[in-house]
Amino acid sequence: MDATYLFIDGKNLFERLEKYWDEVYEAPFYWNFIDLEVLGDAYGATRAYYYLSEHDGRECTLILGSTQVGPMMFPEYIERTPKFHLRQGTLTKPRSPSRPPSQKEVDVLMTVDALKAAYDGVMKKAVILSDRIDFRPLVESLVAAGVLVTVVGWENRTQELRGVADSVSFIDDSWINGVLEIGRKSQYPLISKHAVIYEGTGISSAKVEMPQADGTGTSIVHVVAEKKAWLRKQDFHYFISVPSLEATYGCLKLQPLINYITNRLNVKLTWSTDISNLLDK
Amino acid sequence: MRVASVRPFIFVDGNYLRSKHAKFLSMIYGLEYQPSFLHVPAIQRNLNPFTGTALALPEQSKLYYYDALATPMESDFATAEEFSKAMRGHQELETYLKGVQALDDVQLRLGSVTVDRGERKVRRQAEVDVLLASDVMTFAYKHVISDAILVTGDLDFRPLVEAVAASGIRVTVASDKFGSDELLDVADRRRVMGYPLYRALTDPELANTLGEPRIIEASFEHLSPERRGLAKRIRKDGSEEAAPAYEYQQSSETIVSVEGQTKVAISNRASEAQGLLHFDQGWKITWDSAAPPLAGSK
Repeated sequence: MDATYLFIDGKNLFERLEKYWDEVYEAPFYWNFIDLEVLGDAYGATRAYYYLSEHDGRECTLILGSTQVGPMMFPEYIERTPKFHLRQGTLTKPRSPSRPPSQKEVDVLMTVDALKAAYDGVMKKAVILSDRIDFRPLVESLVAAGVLVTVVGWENRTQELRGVADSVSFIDDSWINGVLEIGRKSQYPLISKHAVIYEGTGISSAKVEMPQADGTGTSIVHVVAEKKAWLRKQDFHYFISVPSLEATYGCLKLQPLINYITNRLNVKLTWSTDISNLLDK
Repeated sequence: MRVASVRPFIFVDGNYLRSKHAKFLSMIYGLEYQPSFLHVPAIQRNLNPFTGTALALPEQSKLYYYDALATPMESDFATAEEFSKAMRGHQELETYLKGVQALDDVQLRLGSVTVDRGERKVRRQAEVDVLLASDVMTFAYKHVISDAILVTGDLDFRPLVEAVAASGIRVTVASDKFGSDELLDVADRRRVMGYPLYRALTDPELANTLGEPRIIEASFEHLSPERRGLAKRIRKDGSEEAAPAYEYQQSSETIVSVEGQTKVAISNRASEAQGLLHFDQGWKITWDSAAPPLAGSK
């Protein structure tokens, strides 16, 4: 089997997921929401390096529902997970108080680890979980060394790396749900996009304002919120069709779905009837 | 396997060198930095950190220079004046980097600039660190070099220095006096880039107009001071150190000393002596202006 190494830019992943949690679930994101074994297996990693700065991941103790290993800190969890290795850098003091502390040492550490594995001939494939442009020279060097490189990141942020990597893989809603620790799956239900628009009678309807591309006011489209089992996917209780996006979004809970449509798709929802009875459930 | 050549390659963290040179000019001479003040040919001639002073590089050595060039965006600036100032700085840096590129045996390696959107926009150099690390690793593992000299004081490079030094390559780190201890600890050899090097790197036309302050080891306590003040410096652990400071006159020169220290700064321009003590020893002096002039002062 070809050796596949997974390199995770922990801070980058955390920041992106933290923003997602804030926008969609209106809740804080914690490191322990991710099931590392699932994440490693998703890319067929024979070895995974998780990069963290000195103090990251120590703000909460985790109790994992799936593994029943008892309370521990996230860095410890990384070390205990098979195939995973914790790689830590010290946090550089910011050069001025207004600047965020940089974590460049982690960048250099990942570069050194990845190139060493490549030049030693032990790594055939590399998966880099980061969408930061900083890693472009690393990706270039790895590709030049004959390693197959996949970059994993959010679709709108991986543009610069797409050209130099062999392939890119996007983090989307199902990716996020897929790597969630099992106990969190019902707490933070999957938001899923389906191209099919469900034709049905809505319990509540809403007026949707979408800014026009040319900036000349808004167009009004119709939205349906249904509380009904999804025909094929039993786990969706609510869905919202947005005809103008030619998509239906489904979720187990209504509030995250509304947040998702409002914040991530940048669509303004104005409900024409009271929906509070739906939200309480 | 190829046998590694013995020629040392020099890797320069351009942003670090520029900022330290800027600090040198501003602390000692009170000059506002311009890229043109860093004399391009002098980089190649003088940047041998084995000595930290002017000395020709060994034959067959190469210098890799890392930097990034950002075109200023008008929207980032509050006033048109600030924007045009940034544009001028940008053009000067561009000219400077072209000069670096034109030198024999010098490779210019450019990263990019990215905007971090936090509470406020912060422009920062991207890719530069990874590019430098990636180049050094590649040369080391392809047996191109057996000796690497890194001009940086940035702790960020510790994993690189550690890995390359462990692979059998001799790594020298050249940084200024206040470079990261954690970085220097893992290097095979450490060189301090001091005042003489920065002076040698300064544009000769400009250097001719500047005084030549120097640090010497001496005690001037037998003279009566012209001025008294308080010197403060911050130790590497973050704690503060304070001591009385004195200024003496001897013939045409001014001597600045700090009580209990053996090193004093001397120059025919008082401000430059004081600036050098700040730059070289970290002592920032505030003169006691409220006190009446001491006996014997002019």
